[in-house]
Amino acid sequence: MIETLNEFLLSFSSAVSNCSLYSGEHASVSEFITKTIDVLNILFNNSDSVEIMVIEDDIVVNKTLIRNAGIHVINLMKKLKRKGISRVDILKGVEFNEIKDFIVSLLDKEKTVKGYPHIVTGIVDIRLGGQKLAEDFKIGDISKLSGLQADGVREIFTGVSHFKKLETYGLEEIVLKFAAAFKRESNVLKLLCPVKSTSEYTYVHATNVAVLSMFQAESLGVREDLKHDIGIAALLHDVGKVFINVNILEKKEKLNDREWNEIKLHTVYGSKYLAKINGLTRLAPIVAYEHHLRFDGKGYPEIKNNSRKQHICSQIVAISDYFDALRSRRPYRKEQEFEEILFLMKNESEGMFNPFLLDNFIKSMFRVLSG
Amino acid sequence: MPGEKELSIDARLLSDAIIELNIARRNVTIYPKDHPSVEKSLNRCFDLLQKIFELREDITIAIAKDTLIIDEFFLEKKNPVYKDFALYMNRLGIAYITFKKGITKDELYEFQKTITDKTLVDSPELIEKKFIEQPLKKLNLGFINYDAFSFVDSTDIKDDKRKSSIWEKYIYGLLTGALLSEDVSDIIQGIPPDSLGDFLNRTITDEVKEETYDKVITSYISRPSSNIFSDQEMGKLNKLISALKPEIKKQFLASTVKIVSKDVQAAKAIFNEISVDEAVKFINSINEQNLKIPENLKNLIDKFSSLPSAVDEHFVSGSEYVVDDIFLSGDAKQLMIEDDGKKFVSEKYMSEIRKILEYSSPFAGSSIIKEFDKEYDDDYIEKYFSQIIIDLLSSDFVTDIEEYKVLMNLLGERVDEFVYTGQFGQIYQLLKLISYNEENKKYPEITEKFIELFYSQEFLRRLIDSFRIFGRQSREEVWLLCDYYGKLIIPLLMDALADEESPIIRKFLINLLKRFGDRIIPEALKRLEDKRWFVKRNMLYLLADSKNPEILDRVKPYVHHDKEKVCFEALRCLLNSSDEYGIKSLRNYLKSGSFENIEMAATLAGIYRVNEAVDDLLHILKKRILSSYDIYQKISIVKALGEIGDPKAIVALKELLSSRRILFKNAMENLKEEIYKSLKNYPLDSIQDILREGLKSENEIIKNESRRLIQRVKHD
Repeated sequence: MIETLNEFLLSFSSAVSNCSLYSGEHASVSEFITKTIDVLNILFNNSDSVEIMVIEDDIVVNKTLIRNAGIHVINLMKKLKRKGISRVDILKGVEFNEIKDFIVSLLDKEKTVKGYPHIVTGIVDIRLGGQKLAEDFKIGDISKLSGLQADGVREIFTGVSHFKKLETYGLEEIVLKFAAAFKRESNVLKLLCPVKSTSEYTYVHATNVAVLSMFQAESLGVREDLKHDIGIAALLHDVGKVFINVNILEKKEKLNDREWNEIKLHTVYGSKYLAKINGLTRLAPIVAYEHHLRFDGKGYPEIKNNSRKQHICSQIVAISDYFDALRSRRPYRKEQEFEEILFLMKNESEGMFNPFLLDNFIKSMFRVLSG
Repeated sequence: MPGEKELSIDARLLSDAIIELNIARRNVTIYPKDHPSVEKSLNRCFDLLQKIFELREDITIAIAKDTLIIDEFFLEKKNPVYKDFALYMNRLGIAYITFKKGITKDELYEFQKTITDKTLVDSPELIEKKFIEQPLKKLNLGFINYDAFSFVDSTDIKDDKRKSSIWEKYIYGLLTGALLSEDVSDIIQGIPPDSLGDFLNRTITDEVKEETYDKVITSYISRPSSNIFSDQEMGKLNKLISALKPEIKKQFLASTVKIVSKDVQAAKAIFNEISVDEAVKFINSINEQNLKIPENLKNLIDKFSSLPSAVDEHFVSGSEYVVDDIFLSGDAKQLMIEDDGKKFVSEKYMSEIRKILEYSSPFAGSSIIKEFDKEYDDDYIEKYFSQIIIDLLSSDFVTDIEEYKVLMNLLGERVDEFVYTGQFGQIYQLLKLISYNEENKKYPEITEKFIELFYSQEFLRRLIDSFRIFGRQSREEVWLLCDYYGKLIIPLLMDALADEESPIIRKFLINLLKRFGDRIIPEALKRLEDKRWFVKRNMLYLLADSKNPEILDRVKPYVHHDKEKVCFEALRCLLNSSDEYGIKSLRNYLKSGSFENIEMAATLAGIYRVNEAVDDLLHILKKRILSSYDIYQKISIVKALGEIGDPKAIVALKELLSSRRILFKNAMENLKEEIYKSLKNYPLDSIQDILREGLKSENEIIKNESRRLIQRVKHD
């Protein structure tokens, strides 16, 4: 049975992944949906529904925990969570088009998932109450509750106190929100500390690049969770500098070729360091690796697979990185005014940035700073 | 509810025992029972348990995913030993373990032995079964029961704000026996407001925490997952509150507002002025720290704090943790220390950043560029990530074996996904990397593991399944992989070809196999013995382009196979090598009198320009025309002769062109057109008079063909 459940999950999650990577019309989506239905029909021999539950980072199908689920399943869980779904029941009689429509609506960034005749979505919850209450509690006879029963009820009520929502105000609220924002990747703080110790400038630069990148993301209408991830990735884009000799990093004179080549390695060091960290957004190593690549494919590090282009989030961070580098004050260089930098970016950096993103950045900056 | 408080003595003893249990678990997997290491750790654990039993009769460890709970205490969440122990037990589906007074060392050993039994660990249901069938007297186990995780329907799921730790809630319910198989809210909701009010007036005392009120309200009015009250529910709640004593009314009102924070205005309208007295303990902790937040960090906090998702997800699961984990940690403190930010960021730039922070996009949450949406997708990001790992591993910058191992394992976890989403380029690059490392004896242990995976029949079969789905969109990448695997993959591709029902995919697989050239010969010859005619046909088709003489004798018997399609392919093979037997067989087919055979043979004679067949073809061409059917047969002959281009045919062609018929006029006109279309391979001087006649024709096709060929003569 476990093999069948695994097979079901594999087919279903592959259909979702392929729909997301290609389109709902891609042959692979039909193939995997058909496979999903084949496996469902086997499962329907034993019950009238197949239940998928997402419990934190676990996935449970028909009350069976599925172990070692692959990346597709993990991505499926993320997609469900993003839509606020932690339970999907697929009922006997489900048809190809229902599954396909469900997958398409699951991937639709803007719409909520509709209800379907044979696919029911909802959330998982734990029912707390207590045996005593369930057995002895009689509606309409409340005044006859014994002390023990009343205690039971009280316990139920106080029991969930641990899960109550916190509310704070003022500065503390901001601080806590920051903590909350990073709670998902508490490692981020650990990662930032050495950056600060290594180079105060790199740390300050990183925070500014994060703000500027999230600003760009906001102006592009990027969804909230991704905006957060872009912020994290931007914050850590230069983390590889921790592995570079401080004397080179802080050198005020012009760098020689050897030193310059060493500096360039921060992209590789940063990405391999971040790639190993569990739970961190994948955008962090991607951006660390690619933020010095150019839109025209030049820049560094040299990419072996030339057909691959720089990720959109790396392109966003590259713009912020460039802007902040010139806008910030360094001992050996005076900062430039924002108008000068934007002019420079527009006119003297051909091929360096994604032209659409650059235009958007320039327009948004002028709108905000000159408006 | 449990909390991270100071441990009681018995809980502390058990937490020490867990450390020993964890050591023992590892030792038991390596050494026999009587090994000193096993004995030592079991003894220690046993002694600690005995001390506990001096204080109480039994003790239970509960496992909330990665956290251990003893009585009301959470064990240190960050302690790697506790975490390891918890995750291991959770993986086995164990929700709690109860140790009872009188437990023996043998029982402890038996427990360890079972939970580390390699035949059982991957199937927790077997472990559960074993403990049910052969229970340990003084050690009881409780297994996770997913029935307790119930379905909550939600019409507007997106607005759900229930973010509490479901595992902690589950364990709490389990330990207190409060898990319900039916929804308590359903029961409570049925109580009339005045009855419940009466009950609460008598029950709620000073010691009751404010959270009680929240829970009563959420249970009474709606399901805990919902935040929005209907008018009816509001009315019901209003009645309940009216029935409460004044001293608890205020708390209930405060909780109500808090719960309906999504719609505070509506709540206020109903309850008039409501004073919410929210005492948040941990704010004091922060104030006590006297932390100053540097400007740049504050900006960042502002930005992050504006994201609702960040807030909602993390505020909820226990205030203490936010404080303990983040703000009281050394990392956070270091970041809070006033820095030299002003050295790098001028006042003016800082004010610009403040303005940027205030910016709120009119497009919030609605991407203005749809093309970008794809790149934001998790699957797409994963694809990028994998590519970067491959880039890194292919570079000279990964020199440390541990680092190599971690990165390779990351890719290893993704191999299945590469297969199921047709990312053949990634698989190819990974294969090349592994081969390079194998050749250079780099990290042999890790490399070997991957070689084993990539060369397993199971993997190759899955890969070919994926070719069927995605292959036609990535032909070159598929070929690179096939070429890389070489002979190893050929039989599997041939199996797939035999089983494939779709003609389009069959064609794709055949073309793929053809690209192997002579490398397919041994397998194809072997499969000629297959009983299925279509397999023979496919193999002959694949062999047909080969000029390898060793195939000829094996192919000859199929020239006279029952299935015409098999004969046709066999003949092709032989004619491709100008084999005499093939030519002889072809001529026999031309003489056979069977329309199908003649049609097939004529086509082959033309394709392979079999001069030896010209007389036989002419013989058919010269036959008297008795029906339009005869004329159409002659079209195939004309075409074949045209391909061969032997001038011997010209006389017969002229005869046909000059014939005048009353019957079958249209068919005859078609035949004449075909003759003109077939003239290009004849010596030009032999057809000049035909062309001149053609120019005079009223048939446009004939005229155009003639004109075209005359032009060619002039050009040449």
